[in-house]
Amino acid sequence: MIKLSIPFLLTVSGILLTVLFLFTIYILVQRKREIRFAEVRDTFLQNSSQQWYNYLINDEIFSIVLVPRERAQVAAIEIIFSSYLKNISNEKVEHKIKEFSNLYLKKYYEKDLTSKRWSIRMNALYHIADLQIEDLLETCLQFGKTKISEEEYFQLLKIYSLFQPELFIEKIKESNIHYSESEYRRVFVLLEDDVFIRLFEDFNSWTTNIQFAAIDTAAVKRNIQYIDRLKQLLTHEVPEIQIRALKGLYEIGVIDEIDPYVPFVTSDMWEIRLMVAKIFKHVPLNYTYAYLEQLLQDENWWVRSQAAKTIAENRDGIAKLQQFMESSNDPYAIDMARETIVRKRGNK
Amino acid sequence: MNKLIVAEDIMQEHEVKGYFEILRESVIRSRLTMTAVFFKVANSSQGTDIERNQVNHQISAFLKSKIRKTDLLFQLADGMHWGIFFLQSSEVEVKAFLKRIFAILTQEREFQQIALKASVTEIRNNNVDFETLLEKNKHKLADEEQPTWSVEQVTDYRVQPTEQVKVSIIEQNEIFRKVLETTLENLDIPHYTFDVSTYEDGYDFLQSDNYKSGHMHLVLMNDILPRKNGLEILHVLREMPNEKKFIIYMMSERNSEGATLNAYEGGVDEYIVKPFNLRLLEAKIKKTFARFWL
Amino acid sequence: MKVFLDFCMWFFGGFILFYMLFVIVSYCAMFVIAMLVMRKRYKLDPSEYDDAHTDAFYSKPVSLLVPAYNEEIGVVDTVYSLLNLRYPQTEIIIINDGSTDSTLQTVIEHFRMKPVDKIVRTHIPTKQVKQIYESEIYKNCILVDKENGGKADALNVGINVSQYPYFCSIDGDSILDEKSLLRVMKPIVLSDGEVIAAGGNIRIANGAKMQLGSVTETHLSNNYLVIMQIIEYARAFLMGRIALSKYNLVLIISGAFSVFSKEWAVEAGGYSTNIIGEDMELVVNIHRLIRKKKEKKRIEFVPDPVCWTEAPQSLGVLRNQRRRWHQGLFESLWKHKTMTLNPKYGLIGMLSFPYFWLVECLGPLVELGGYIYIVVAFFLGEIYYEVAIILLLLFVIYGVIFSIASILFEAWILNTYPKPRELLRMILLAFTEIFWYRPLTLFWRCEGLLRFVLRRSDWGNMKRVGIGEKEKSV
Repeated sequence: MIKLSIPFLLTVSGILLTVLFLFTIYILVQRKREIRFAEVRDTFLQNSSQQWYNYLINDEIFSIVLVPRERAQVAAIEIIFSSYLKNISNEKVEHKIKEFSNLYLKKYYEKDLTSKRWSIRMNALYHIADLQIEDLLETCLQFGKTKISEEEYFQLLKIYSLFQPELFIEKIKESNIHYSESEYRRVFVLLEDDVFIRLFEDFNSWTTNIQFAAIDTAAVKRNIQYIDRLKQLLTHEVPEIQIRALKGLYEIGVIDEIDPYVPFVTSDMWEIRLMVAKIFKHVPLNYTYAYLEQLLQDENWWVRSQAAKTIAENRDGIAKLQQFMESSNDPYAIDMARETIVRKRGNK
Repeated sequence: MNKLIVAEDIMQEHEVKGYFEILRESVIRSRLTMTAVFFKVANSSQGTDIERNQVNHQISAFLKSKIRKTDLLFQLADGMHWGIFFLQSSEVEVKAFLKRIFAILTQEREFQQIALKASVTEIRNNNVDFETLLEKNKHKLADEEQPTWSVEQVTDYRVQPTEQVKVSIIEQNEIFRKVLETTLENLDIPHYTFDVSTYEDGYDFLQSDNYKSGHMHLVLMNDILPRKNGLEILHVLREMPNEKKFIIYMMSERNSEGATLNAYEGGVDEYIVKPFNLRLLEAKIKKTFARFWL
Repeated sequence: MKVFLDFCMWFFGGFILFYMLFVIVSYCAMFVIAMLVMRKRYKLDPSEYDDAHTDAFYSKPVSLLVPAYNEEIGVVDTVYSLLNLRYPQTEIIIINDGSTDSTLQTVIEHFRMKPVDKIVRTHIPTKQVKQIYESEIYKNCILVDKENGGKADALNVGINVSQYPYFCSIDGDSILDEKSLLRVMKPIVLSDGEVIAAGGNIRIANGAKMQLGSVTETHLSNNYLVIMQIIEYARAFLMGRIALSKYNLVLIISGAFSVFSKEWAVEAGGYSTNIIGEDMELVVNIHRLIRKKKEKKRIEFVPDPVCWTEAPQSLGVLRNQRRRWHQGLFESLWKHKTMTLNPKYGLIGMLSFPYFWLVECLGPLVELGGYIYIVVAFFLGEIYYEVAIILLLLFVIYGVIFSIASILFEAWILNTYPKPRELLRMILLAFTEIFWYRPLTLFWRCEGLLRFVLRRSDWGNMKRVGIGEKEKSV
């Protein structure tokens, strides 16, 4: 072990202080460079934003001034493009941005992908997807073969899903990285309908996260053609999938028949009974009242509460609840009915 | 067949002048077009005095039976002209009205003695006084050669006054704020001039006092803003006594039913989810302003 | 006598030296880990994630709980900052904990609160709720008026009233950056619920210009005491939080800004009302629960979400704060002492607890001993000079060098105070740390220890101090 002596400690502190001193100078220089970078970026932003407006919105001819000559100007263009894409939906604008990026920004991102820094590669991947730089698909494929992090691979998946859905399905199948549901959702919403529906074809071969994300995405897309797919999943053996499918159908809100849902009224899982009570919101009360009355007397508070709410939403619901209170002898159900009536009246 | 009609209870020229001035001003204030029609007997030289008198009564009675409760019928001092002010009606509607009553008059036997011609004046500004209006219309109908059932037109007062509208854009993103500003400044809506100002956040806007003037005011804002957000601005504006002058468009990144509902309940006129199409926004604004005048 | 004194001096000298080395090595290790974690994110553009996740479809709804006890000045700004958060689905629950000033009236008037009937499910028993109000302007803003019961009790009421699966506690005098909630929720969302609690980074607001819940400009404060605290926060952040979080060893996430899964917090019994450090207590209880249920869950510290808070500007208030923090820390560690070196609790028991005991809790005692030792050694004469100087040098490394390194590293990665002048000022001030700030805080912390030992029995009176004082744990 090193002997702890005064000279030794002095040397150590001296070395450390020197290192810190150098680091300080490095940071100060870095800061200077950042300030200059920001200045160039902001000047370009100032000078060109009107011209960008004219080119993108007013269809005026393209000016060579808009082509970036250095990194800082690329950064300015990134800011402009993202502002347009985030706020304005217009195919012509999107097309122009895509065209421009493929022509003039491509080389910057291509270079960034070879960077040693993970964050710079990530930023490049973000921009390739956002600005739709399709010309870099081949580069991305090559990049995917190198040793990259999970986050980068995920960005690649997103890029494939945009430019080559076939490849995306293939890659997602062979990938053994497990992403979270919310990440899968982010890619799935971007998929075209015909690609997305293929996720349901081979449903059981997917990992649960993909299955869940697919169901939730189907619900949020509110497309009628997904209703049948979700209905098929109601008989799936995994209860969680049944619950998700029920939730999805509830969110789409189009219930054309109640027969598939009736068996769930007597399900063992209260979550399923809760979802059924919710789904019956979308069905006229006279078809469902018998079942809802049953659910109103459920052992679970949430189920009782939801059943009462669903009944109360109907025009004649309050009357039905009052009628129920008079005839029933289930104290919990009566309580719930009373509470719901009070709340309903309070809201008016 | 006893068609002798007792003198109709009908307003006279001197009584109407005062009304006209009120109506004319209300046209500007409520942005609702008014149209005046003057009738003259086309075959006035024929027949005896008694016959003419009888016809005049018949015309008064007939017109009175055809107008709506919001229309004002009166007879001019010379006894040969009638006037009707059609409130909240454009020339098109009035011409349709004329076509209808002229058809009745020509077809029904009991009115065979009546022959009329008319002159129509659409009024959208307050540059007209009662005397000039009468003068111009009388002049239009003065030509004895005009065919019966003809409809003349006085077009001098149909142009609505140009109104100044304040436009406030409250948006955090500088680039998009500029885009909106340019777009709205270039937006050409006939009879309106836009006075556009932009703000970075809600506090800036509420500090500006710009919204306190009496002008019509189009507010285009984000729901989420630093220092007083869109919902609070909405609340402040809708609490003002003359809140009707505000046309409020709210832009949002949040595409959720709850948020949309909240905004409409709070009193926005339009809720636009980002990203949106600028042309669509322009069209919506144009439509909003086109509704103001008939 | 002389022999005894010699023995004492050598023994304590050796002990303190050994201890200092141990602390320095562990700090170094944590610093290196933090550097590796942070370096990866250097210059990463966060807007990509931010933009995608402002859509409700990808995120999870959060209830924001604002406990307020005599906060009539700060609470309105806090609520404004919450209203301006970029987050798709939130509800704001302000809990007036029986304030004696006009907190209740201020909030009612400012946000047009109207009384409503609301049925509350009692997950955690609390003091009586008097009335619930709802804002006319903001449909998602609720005010709960309750009887005084301390901050923990107020938070428990908030948990009962909340309707969303996650809740976030924010002190009634803090201000959140518009994207901070989005980012603190990121590990929770991306891990599909494996992360069940997350804490954010606290930044000192003194010197920053703020209005209506938005920070418009940041300047370094002119108050030396405040600057020292800024340095201290940066150190705690780099040598502690990040490294501990990487290995799921976090025991403290700041109560001023942290998110919890409601399900887990409720199962862990909510906030404890009879303890000073209720935020630490909840975290430890959740760790226990995780072990008990043998589930793979994590508690994380997220480096960038920013919560601005006012730091004490005077010695008196600072002393009070530190004393209480330390008393709270000791109390919590003592309460769960059986977890220490208990293999049943895995790394938490084997690493976290010993670290908190040795470095965070008892450290001040040894360090203060070191200071005393140096002074005594100089009086006793030459034979101890060497030990004293070695000790002093270790203090320099420990105090000055680590502080400067933290300042520089934070400047490099997070760039909080961008002006070179401000950076240099902080570095210069860091050199003075070991002469005044360090001994002062050490002394206060030891006071806290002493108070814990002496006043164990009368905790009941302590809790009332509550949120009123402007203080927050780092």
